[in-house]
Amino acid sequence: MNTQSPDRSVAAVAMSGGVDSSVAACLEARGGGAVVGFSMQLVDRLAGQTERYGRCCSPEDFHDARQVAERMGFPHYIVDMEREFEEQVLQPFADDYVNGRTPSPCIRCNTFVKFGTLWSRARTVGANRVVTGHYAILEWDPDRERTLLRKAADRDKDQSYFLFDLSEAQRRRACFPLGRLQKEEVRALAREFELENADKPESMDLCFVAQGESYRDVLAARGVVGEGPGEVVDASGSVVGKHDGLDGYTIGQRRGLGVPSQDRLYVIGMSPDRNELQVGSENRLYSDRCVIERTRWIPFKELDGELRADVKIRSSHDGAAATIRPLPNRCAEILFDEPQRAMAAGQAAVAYHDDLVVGGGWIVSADACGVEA
Amino acid sequence: MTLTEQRVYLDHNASCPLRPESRRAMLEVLEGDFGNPSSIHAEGRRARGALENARRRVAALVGCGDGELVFTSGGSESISAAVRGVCDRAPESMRRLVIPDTEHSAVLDAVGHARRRGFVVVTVPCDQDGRIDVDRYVMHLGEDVALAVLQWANSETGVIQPVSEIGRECRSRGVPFLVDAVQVAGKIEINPKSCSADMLAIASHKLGGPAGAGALMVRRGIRLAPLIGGGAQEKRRRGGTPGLAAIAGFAAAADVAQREMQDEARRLLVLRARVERRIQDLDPSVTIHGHSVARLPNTVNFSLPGVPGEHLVIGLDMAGFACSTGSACASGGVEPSHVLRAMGFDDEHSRGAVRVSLGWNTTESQIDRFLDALPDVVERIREGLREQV
Repeated sequence: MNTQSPDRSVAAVAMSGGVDSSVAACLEARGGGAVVGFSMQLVDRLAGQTERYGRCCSPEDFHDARQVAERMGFPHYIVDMEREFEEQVLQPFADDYVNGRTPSPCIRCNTFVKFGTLWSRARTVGANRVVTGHYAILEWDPDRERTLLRKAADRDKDQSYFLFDLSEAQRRRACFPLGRLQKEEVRALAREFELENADKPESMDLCFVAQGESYRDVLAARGVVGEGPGEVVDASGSVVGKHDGLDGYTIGQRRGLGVPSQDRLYVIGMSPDRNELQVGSENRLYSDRCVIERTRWIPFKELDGELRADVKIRSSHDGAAATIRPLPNRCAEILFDEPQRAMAAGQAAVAYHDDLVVGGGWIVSADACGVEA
Repeated sequence: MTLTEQRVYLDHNASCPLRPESRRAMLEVLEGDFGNPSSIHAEGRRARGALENARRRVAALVGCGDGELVFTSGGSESISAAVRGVCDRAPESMRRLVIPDTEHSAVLDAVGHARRRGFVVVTVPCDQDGRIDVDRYVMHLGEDVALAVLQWANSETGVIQPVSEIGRECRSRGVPFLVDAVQVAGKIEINPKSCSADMLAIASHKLGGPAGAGALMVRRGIRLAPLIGGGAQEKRRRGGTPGLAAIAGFAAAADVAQREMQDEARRLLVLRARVERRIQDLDPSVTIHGHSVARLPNTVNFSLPGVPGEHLVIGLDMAGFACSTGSACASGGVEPSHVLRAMGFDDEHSRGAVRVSLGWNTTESQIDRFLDALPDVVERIREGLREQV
């Protein structure tokens, strides 16, 4: 039966066709509440005549999601969110590369697409929450009247880093049924629900990059060329070689620099205004300070004093002890106890108290380069 | 209460619910007529008899001779068979195809195929109401035109084209003329003689028969290479054993549609006017596409400003009402309707388009329920969009 009155509790589940979101949908449906599945069409067939799809949004993925909905008996829709994905994720991704930053498209996708645009679709069917297969825990704190975000029970799968930028309103309407489960339990549930995709491999890479291609192919297909080749300079500013476009490099990269040297050289910085790539020895990658902008705090609205926390400077980072000091205009300064390697502008720095996400922001600059490690 | 009693189905242009007469005719075939119409024996003869009986009745709806009607699997096959069949046999000196820019994707795809084989496709623009201007069409009808195509009524907007005027000009210039009559068959009177069609395509499920059957009228004397080979069936125009059950259901639907056509058109026009009035009351800034020109009596296509069509269709579905964002083939993709784009609307506006199409089992009380539910759904969508940021 399809008819829902708007006052009843309805869960909108974002379904990629993968195991995690499928199990999340099944758990929601088994709970007895009304469920509506949404699969987001984010990139249609990648540009060109031949059938090339990203690691998500292929007809097979939609087929898998549809099967789950059919089996559990709830309606499922494929919604076209290509324009929003383009504006909120792909274009900023390309801009970041051109400007010498290291983009974080997954965080933007959560904030602006899954818990932004999809929410408006969810409202259309009278839903009051958006359910996803993310591994993270949301917890209502009645004293502070805030929705807390915690690391997932399965620390290997934890995705709280990618969710730090959700607003309080967004966290309130989000729901992560897998947060307290281990990945193995999720696989077992998938088999219990007899999901055909129970053993589907994990998608780890950027969803909008086709199999066998790289993000550079995505940039090239978009006609993003940046300034093209330019000069490679060393720490003293002398030209030591040529690079083939800043968009092909990331901070900390060692291989493929094509600069002969006795020492191991790493990308330590980029100057898009001069189209210059800076290389240097590994110790120059270390910095004990960075400035973040567009900060978001979770257990509280504003940071009004110094804060001690463990800070992750990229998703794969273990986190390092630091002191965070507020700066004007939603910015903050992070002072690490020990210098950290390869902090990159454009990445998010996310602060934790043990498993609790305190907040974070976007790295604008990693100053004090060249601190002796 | 069953699902169908509760739901209100307003997407007849995509596919109609099966008429009870069709269901009965199909069951009869499924239970008895299992023979192959090409066989010599009694079972084969019986199947042949049922096939030819069906052909007579569908030919009566189309207004052509029995010998001019080829059964196919549906509208898209009929159109592909016509376009490819003509192109395959066209002499070297005839390498141009003329089509309006509002044609169905079946035509666009078929001519795209021809283009890759070296044919030149001339596209005729429509006006802002979606009508094709006769003079602008006719000016392209030179001696080198292998085929001219025209959709009698647009599936998305219901806008009716000046098919007789254009057909007359094609005939007088000796240009083969294919009419896509899929949306008009059973809704308004069709007659290949009055519209001078050399070929005319129709589909069973748009008039209340089952999907999986269609027909192509091929006027005597037109040379057409078969799309599907493999046998002498359908006068070598379409190989393969025909799906007799679907064809019998098609014929039964054709009978009823033809018998009730005039009364039904009057009835639906009243309901359509009711829908249009209420939508205009709900939001005076609504655009009803093709409002000022002749349209099918069953079709309303509108855009409410600030309400994306996809949202509205999903919201209405959840509330129990089936509508569409345009033609069903287009809504799987992500492009805004090419028809509305051709009519000069921008993408933002085109994304707002919603089609409500009525049919044989649509009742007045269903329409009232729909119109009562619509404002709440629209309001909820506008609220959701405000909360998005």
